[in-house]
Amino acid sequence: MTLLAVRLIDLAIFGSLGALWIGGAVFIVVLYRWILRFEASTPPSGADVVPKTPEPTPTLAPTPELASAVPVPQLAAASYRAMASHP
Amino acid sequence: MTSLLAFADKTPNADAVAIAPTMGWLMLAAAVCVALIFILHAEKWRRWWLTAEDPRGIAVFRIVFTFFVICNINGMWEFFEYLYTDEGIFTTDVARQVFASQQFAGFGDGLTPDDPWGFYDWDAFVLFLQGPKYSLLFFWDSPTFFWAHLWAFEICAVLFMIGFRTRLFGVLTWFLMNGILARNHLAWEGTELVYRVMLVYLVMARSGHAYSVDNWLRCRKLRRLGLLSEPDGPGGGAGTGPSEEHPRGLEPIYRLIPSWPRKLIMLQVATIYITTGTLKTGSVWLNGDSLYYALNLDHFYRLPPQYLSSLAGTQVFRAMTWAVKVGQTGFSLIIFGLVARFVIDQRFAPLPAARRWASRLAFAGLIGLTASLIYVAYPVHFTPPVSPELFTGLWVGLWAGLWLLWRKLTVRPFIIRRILGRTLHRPVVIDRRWVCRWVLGRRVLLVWHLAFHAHIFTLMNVGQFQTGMLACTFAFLQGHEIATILRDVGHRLARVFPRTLGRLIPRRVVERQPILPAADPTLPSHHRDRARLPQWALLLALGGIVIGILVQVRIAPSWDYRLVWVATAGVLGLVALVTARRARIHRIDRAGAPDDASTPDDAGAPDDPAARRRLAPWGYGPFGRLVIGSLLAWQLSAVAVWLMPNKDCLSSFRPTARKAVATWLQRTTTDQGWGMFAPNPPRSNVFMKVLVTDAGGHVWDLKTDVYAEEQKPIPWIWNTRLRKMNRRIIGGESGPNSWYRKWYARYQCRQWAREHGGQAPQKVELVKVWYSIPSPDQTRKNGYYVAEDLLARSGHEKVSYTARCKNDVQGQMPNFIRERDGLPLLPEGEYRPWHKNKRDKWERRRKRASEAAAQ
Repeated sequence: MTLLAVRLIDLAIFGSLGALWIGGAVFIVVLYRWILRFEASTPPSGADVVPKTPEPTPTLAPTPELASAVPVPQLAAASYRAMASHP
Repeated sequence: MTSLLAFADKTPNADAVAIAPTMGWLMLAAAVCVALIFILHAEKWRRWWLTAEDPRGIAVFRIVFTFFVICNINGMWEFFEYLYTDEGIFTTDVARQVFASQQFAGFGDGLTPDDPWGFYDWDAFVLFLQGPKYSLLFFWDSPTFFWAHLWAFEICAVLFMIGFRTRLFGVLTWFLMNGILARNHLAWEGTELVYRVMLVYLVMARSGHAYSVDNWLRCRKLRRLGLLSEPDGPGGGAGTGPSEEHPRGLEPIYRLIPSWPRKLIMLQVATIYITTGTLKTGSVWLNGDSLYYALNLDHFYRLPPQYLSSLAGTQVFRAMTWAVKVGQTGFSLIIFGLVARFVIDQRFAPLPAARRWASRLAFAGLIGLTASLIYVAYPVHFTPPVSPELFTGLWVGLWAGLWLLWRKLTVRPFIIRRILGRTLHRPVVIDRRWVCRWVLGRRVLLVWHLAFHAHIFTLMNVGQFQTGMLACTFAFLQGHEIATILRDVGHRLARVFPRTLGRLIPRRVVERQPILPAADPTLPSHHRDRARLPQWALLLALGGIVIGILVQVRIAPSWDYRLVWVATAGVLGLVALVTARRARIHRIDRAGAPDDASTPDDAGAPDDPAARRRLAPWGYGPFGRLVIGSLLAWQLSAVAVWLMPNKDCLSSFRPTARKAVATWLQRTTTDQGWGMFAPNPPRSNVFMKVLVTDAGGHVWDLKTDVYAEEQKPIPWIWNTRLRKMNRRIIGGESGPNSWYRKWYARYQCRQWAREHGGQAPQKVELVKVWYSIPSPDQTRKNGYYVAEDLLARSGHEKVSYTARCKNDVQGQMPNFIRERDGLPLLPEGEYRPWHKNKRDKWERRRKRASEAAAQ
């Protein structure tokens, strides 16, 4: 009888809460997958993982243009990794 | 312990008052122990607070948070003129008197010829400058001026959000927002506290160094000059030092910025949670019924919750209530997890043996003192059914256990090879780092934070509180994490919408290339020096602070005891000056060699290039570090003092302690209180009914609250401050708010006249309407209820205030509004202003001051 007396609007909250819980569960799964992948791709910071000074890229012809082509990605990664221990 | 302190009766508790001095000394000793621990670990403290970091974390926070700052102010749109203009509830002179009477004691209202508008003299102006209510709306608040003020705020806030002249428009946004809010407190919620406090921290940050028009313009200019490190060029965007090819070096795209504002925001979020969590000590919270009552408040729910409450009120809601209580109390552990990870990652050299033992002693002292506090306070507060000796012993045992556990995690971590009979592919090592990442980590506690606010946001409408708190989530993320998230989200969006977003999103993001780095920490332009305050100077500073307190308590001199603190700061400044000079000489002596305290080792460290790369540079030079470090220590102490619970067992020293920090906190807009739904949530629905008796004797109900159908849209989507203001006026909120009633009733007198050709009503009555919410068990037993029916069946009404419009002060519409509206003017003497005799009072005050000075 109680259920029969209920208005449609009284049931709407179940939809809201249900959508929140389902959406929240999906979000948590996506978030944790991202976190674990992110961690796997970022070595833990610390002295043992301090990137070495980038070695010069082997070049076939020592032209001025190529001489300035410093191996960028290693330095870039090192740079943000250095900050990574700062929460 | 704070929870225990908060278990106090509302009525004065003589036993609690009697122990207050003892509590005060014990708390002072505990605070000294905390300070000693930080001093002994000073290197960790200063590296945590004063180093530089990637600017992208705070930049995203700036964008999101400022957007909600704008939303929060605009959420009061329909009440702007009512709240903030001279046509609203408070005319200008009344607003000055009720909200900033001390500050405007020397300011004439211009109501009589001998009391002209403006400051009486220079001293009066100086008094105004002392604050804390800095608002132009206390001087000029016609609707025209207010709207100009508002649009100035909107423009400044948008420019701050997009990062154009970020620092300038950040300060202006802060000033203009607080100018609006300070003009009238009637509509304030906890929301305003969040926005005031967080905004000032944000303005302190160099948040315009990333994701901003400023940085875009800067990069464009540098690129034109050939001075920018491009992503696919030398430095990879991270900058390079001077070289033969680039004698001036190349500038990075993202310069490093001081990290302390972001960390202060994190700490502030933790402070909000632990304060509100520990203050929630009422029986409703302990029984687990708070969510039920909060959700069934007619002023808050978006959708009728009564049917859900009847089904879930006694089990699911109780579990959720306890999850909130535990989560709020425990959230601050996230700061411990972050700091512990920082200390582990930074590989600080071990302390010398003497300092290590001193630190342990200070920590043991802290535990002993907190145990003493519990033991002393135990008889006068709520007591669990165990003896004080046992409870205190359990407290000490808890800390001993935690210490042993931490040691075990450090020396011999747990290694799990099998779970539920299955051998793991790779053993899980549960060490300190694992605990900091998982149990105390952002991935757990921030998810709780998101879930908590998402639930409130979905089920209840409390304005922009949730959005502000959710925006703070970004402050917990580092710059490179933000950049990675944005890249991955952008990459995914480009795949889903290749023809639209795929063309708009930068190529690097679409192709999921590595993120751009922040500035290379090894660049020579960064601050790296060895200057540091010696340990004895820090101990001296602590001694100076304690001596200042002792002078006040024991001697109570006629002069301000804080002069001792000022003198201590002066000595500290001198020591810092000498130290910085020595460091400079050291650098000159070692010219050519890398100069840096390159590892966080107190004993000094080799100039190791690897360590230089691992460690972030300083955010400032020596002088900047001294100033910012001192201000941070002061700010943290001030907030801790300010948030001491208002309990009888602290009554002998809490007011004096708060007074010592009030000037600072109020002027920096970081004074705060977080007792939301504490100690208990309301258990009845309270509304305000306004009845107007017009000149003809007819009574009109203005239908100002949700007892009237037109005020209760379901589902409730857009927030209105009307409900909060009604509760505050009629007595549905804690605190001494009844004084609002007369001003509100008088406003209704004026407003009625304004809308009825200048004809004032006879009287305005404010009626309190309320009904009790059935308990969860009653609802479960009897079935759900319909709020409107229950109000009709069991509601109560009581006239709380009556204004006689003809005779009451400001019950009549003044002529300056009549002139604006083109209404007939009132005859001379019919308008009754509020004469405050300020000029006489000011003269007497000046006379007393000069007499006191003469003596």
